[in-house]
Amino acid sequence: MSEGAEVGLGEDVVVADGLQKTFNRGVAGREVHVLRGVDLRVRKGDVLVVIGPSGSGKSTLLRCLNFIAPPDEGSVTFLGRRLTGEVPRRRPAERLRYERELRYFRTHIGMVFQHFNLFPHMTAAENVALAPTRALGLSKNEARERSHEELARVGMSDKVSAYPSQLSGGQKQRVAIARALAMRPQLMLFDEATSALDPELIGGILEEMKRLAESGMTMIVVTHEMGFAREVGDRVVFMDEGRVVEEGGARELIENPQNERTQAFLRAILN
Amino acid sequence: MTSLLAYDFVWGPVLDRWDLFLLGAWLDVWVTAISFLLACAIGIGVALLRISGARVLRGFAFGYVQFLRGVPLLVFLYWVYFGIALVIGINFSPIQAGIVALTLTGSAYTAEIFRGGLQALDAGQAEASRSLGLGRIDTYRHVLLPQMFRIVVPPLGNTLIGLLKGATLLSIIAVHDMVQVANDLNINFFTPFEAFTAVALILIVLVAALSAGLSFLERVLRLP
Amino acid sequence: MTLAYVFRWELVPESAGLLLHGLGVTLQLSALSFVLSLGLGLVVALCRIAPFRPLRALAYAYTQIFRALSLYVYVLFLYFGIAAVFGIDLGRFAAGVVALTLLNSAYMAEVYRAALGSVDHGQREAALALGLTHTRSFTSVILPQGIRVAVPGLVNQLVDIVKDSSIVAVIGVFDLMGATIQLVNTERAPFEFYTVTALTYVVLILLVSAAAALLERRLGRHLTGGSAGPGPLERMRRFRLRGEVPA
Repeated sequence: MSEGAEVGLGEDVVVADGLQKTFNRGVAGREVHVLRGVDLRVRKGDVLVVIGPSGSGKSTLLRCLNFIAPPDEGSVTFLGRRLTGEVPRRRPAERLRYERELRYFRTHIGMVFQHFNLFPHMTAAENVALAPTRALGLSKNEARERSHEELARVGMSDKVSAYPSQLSGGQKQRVAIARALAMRPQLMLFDEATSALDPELIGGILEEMKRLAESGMTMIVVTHEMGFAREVGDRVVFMDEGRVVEEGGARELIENPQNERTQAFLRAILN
Repeated sequence: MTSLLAYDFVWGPVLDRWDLFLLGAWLDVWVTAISFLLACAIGIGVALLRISGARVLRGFAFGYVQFLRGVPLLVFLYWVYFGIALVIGINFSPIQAGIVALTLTGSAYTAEIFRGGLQALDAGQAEASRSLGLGRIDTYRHVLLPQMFRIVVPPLGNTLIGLLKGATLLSIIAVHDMVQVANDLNINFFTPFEAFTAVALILIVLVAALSAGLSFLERVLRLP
Repeated sequence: MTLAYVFRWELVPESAGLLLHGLGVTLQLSALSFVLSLGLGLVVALCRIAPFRPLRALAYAYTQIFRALSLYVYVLFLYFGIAAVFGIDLGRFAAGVVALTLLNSAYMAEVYRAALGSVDHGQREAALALGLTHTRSFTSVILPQGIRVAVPGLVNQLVDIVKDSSIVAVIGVFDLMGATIQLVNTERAPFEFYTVTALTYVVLILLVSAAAALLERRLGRHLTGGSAGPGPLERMRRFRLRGEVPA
């Protein structure tokens, strides 16, 4: 079981401070400054929705939080543990401690991707059971039980032995959600989870996400679905060009944006 | 006017020695097999070096591949058997020299195949795996390598066939394979057409068998 | 460890003349075979997709047989076998050209076939819908596009041709390898000469590959009409089928 620090309601689950990230787009040597100083704070049980035009850095922001794309500058504090993007290369002891912290972050933060990223050579059940076995140390039987449990929770009991190639987009995303939840995370990150789905399948996934939010999960959701943002979100953040332009309560910001750019964006997207 | 009558087809000598031909062919086959396995082993190592973080290792691996892919097998064979052997004082037997040459040139190809296989993998797979908390070793072992092995099978199969064809060159340094049998026959009995036709036929059959086996393997692995 | 071998590198520049002559022969041989197999390969490819069963079968057999043979076996077969049967003295250089051409045409045929097959099917439909005949739609619409796609694969064959050309040395052609062997026999400095020759081939191959890559980039720019390039799944598929190493 995870040695999670229990965070009380109203306390910070994750705080990001001054995140900066630059990507080197290889060939032409062009550098893209994707994040230009982003701060973030999410409390337990909150659903934070991140909106903004493409290229504004929303996906990168999520990836900084669980360090699969570590920030160049700034820090992330998760359940009281603070980590920066600087990897201590010199001293092996510090390096080991850093790696341990990283693993703590990743095993307690779940992520759902736009393109599902299921492992194609494994069945749905195997996909869900892999990380609990290898990263949490569960026995094969325990992992299998948990896997079936989580798949049942997302309504995929009858597809436990199916391979991803045999599943529809919506089904794949459900399995992906089950896979992330099987780690019993304290925080769930959703990176445009419905953007790659056929329109008629989007609703189903949004329903799952809503149920998850109602069960008290702390979530950060990057999405274009304004209906979801208004209904399920607690707070909304509008990002543009690597910065947070405006932030506020979900309903207030969407219905009554103060900033010009926010207004322009919402106008375009809600039409 | 040239006519077929200028040549009498005499199949006797060839047919009489069918067992020698098969033995020679068998030699080609197992030399190929050994070289292939060694080439794969080296290739995986070089491929990992190619995508490693250290620039020196990457450069070395790059140079290794470029050199060995640019040298024709014949040249490399001579270089190993007649050149390097003298310099470092090792007395290679023809078969050993042949295996060394085949292995090294083959490893340049397998290295590129394995590297390509790793890089062809969807970046999202590694992302998902890491985001679940799996360490680098586990990610490779359970997510990346299994997928990679499925993709590299066809190009590796082609490399194997290429090595078999390369093995037929070894008769030049007096390895007693089926081509050498044909050469001997030709020298003694003046039956070049029959002898080399026999070799060509055996080669065609071997390659066809390998190709069929490869197709079967691809089907079994359920490649998308 | 003291080596029992005395390096005599000075022999190489002294023999530069002969080596360069051999290099020239190699280049001629390769260029000639390349051009000829380009044409022959196209013919075979067209036969492969011709609406005429026996022709298709013949072309299929052609490609299967020639892709299975090694150049060495084929050179021996041609130079000793066929020449004896027909009583012709082919001449070494010619035998080399014929062997290289026939063998590589089979690979080129496959490149052409794959390229032609990869042209979007909608192109054909559009051409026919406009009223073009089947033949016309092929020659004016499909073929030109197919050939453009085929170019990188075809030019890559040149690399194989240059490497394979070294084999003709075994029947006595005075190409780069042939010259090297002769020099080794007379001067007895095998390591020096074979090393230099190996490096020469490597450089030659690198030049050809670089030219091929440049060509591919130049041509490819206009081919992918605005698409974002192959996605990860497509890259995997291509790698599997053609061993194309993704960039």
